[in-house]
Amino acid sequence: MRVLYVEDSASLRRSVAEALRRSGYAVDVAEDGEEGAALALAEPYDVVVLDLMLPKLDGLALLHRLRAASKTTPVLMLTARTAVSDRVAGLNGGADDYLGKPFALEELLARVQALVRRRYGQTVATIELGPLRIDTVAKWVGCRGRAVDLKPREYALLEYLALRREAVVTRSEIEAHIYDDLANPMSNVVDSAICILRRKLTDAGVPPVIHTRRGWGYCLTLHDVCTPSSAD
Amino acid sequence: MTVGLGAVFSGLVLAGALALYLSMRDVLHDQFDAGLRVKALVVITATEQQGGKIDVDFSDRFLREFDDDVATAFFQVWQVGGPSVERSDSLRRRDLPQRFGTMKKPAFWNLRLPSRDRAGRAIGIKFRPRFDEDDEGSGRAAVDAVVVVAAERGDLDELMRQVGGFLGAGGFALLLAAWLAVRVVLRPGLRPLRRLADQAASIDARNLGQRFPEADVPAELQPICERLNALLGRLETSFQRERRFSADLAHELLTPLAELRTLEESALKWPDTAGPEMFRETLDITLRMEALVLRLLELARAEHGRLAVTLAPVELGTLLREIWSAHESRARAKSLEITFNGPQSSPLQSDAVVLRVIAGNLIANAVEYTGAGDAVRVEWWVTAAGAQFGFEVTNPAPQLTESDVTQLFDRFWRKDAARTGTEHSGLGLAVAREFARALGGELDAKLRADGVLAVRFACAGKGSRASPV
Repeated sequence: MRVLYVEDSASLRRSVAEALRRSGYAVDVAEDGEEGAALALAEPYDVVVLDLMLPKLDGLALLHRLRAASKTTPVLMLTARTAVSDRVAGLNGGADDYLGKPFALEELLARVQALVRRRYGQTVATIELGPLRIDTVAKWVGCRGRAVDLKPREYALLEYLALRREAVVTRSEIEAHIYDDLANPMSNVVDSAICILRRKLTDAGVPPVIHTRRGWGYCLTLHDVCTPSSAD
Repeated sequence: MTVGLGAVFSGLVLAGALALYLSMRDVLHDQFDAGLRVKALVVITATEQQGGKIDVDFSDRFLREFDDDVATAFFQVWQVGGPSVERSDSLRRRDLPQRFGTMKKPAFWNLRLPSRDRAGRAIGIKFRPRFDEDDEGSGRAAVDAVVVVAAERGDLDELMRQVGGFLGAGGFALLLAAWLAVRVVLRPGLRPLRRLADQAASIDARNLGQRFPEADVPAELQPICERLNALLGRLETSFQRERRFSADLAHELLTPLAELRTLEESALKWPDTAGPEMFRETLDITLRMEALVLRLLELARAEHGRLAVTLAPVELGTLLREIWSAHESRARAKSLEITFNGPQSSPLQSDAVVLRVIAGNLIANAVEYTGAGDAVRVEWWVTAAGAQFGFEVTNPAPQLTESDVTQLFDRFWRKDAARTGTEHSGLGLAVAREFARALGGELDAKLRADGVLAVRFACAGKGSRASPV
């Protein structure tokens, strides 16, 4: 999952981005409203975490610009302005969630995860596909009770495919949602990651669930019947 | 107010009625006494002495009220120290009490009349009866007599009762009419005042935007409404500033708190993130918060007049150049052009530490916010003997508006609402202004027509004669 964090405090930018990365998200950061708006409009983020008081363009104006461009990316406002009127203005302005500073890191991660789930129509935290079980809160993958040992990026790839199960997901979509702006688009990082993921799942006793659709991409399903689709 | 007016009016009516009653009583009594005196004089005129004896040549026919069948007036004459010599028929051989005054000042008193035990009033006079024509010039010793004349006062008392009754009824009617008049005339007149009071009662800190109507009120209330509205305006501005200060303070403290909490929770969740880098970062944040709190304390102390000012000789030009030198590298990096203008020698008595805070803020702001390549001007002046002094820092500020300048000295105000960067808390100018006041001076800012901001400190000064504290 790919998250944009727009925050002018350098310390928060560093630590929250790191926490999100360690939780399996691909994270881009922006330090002012103009940069944040440019990124949010250009890239297919799963969630935007947005400070309210930003240089150059404040958070509400950024949000307005995003919604005016018909971008439905879920937005979590993260700000020290926590008065009821501020919350109402943020939510009415198009924010999907609002969290006041200082915040509990776990709560921020849970809210980001909830927004990701909501974006893909997933109401519960656990995804089950035959014997395969993915706990999106604990970031745990198992097969018939046995844990599958996955690295964060591998887990993120599996979770993304699982959230869009039964649909074909293109390589570029995977790159856009799983890898941050440091990823080289010319590399075969996606193919390599899929290969490693398949092997680990097979070793854990999971039947083949990741299918290649030549010329399209990949599809996570118990049956090899996928239709091409795309998410924002 | 209605009750008060009613009480005052009732008091006035009662006092008036009482005064009228008493004065009428006095007049009637005086008239009655005058009548008694006339009767006494008639008796005195009819009295003469002959051969040491008193003779009263009085006939009841002169005054019918002394007659037995009318019996509304009575008289009795005594020789002083002797027996009764004459009495009216109406007394029927009974006696009147003997009491007397002089001709000039007779004695008057109330009494129960011997006849039919009715209320009466009497006059008593001691006099010297005239001599009989035969006795005149005989050289015989004169004798004095006492005459007491009494008359019924039933009519007088009845009249007084009637007057009292009339005044009582009239007063009561007047009070009733006044009460009705107060209700009918005054109450509607007071209605706008009551509405004003109700509206004032409904105003509190949450709705200071309310204003009293100035158009549809009586002319007498218009100035009050105008003053109250002006007061509300000032209160609203103060409250807005205080609310903004609270919100800004919360923001200034919540953001570093969020930074600290995130770093620490990350370190707990992922222990490998806890290292020297993280500790350095938490220390930086803590020091920033400490600086903010110390600045707030400084400001609070200055605002409460608890800033200790120590006077000592200060060379103003040298001080300003020293402060500039601390910012010189940053100014050079921005290619700022600096101009100093002031007297070579500028000695005065002031607090160098406090002056350094004021000038330091002004110069730091100028260096921070002046565009690259622009000019900063530092000017100072000191009058003879340092009686008055000051300095002014000017720099182009095209980003500022007139409205910004009115907020420059507000706590936490910064043009950039996002409060980017951490060096400027937005408290500097607020602190500088309070410090300026502690020195007995004033700090003001003006945006000139050409977009140049001039921040000026002017102080009456303690003069070089003042001795250091």
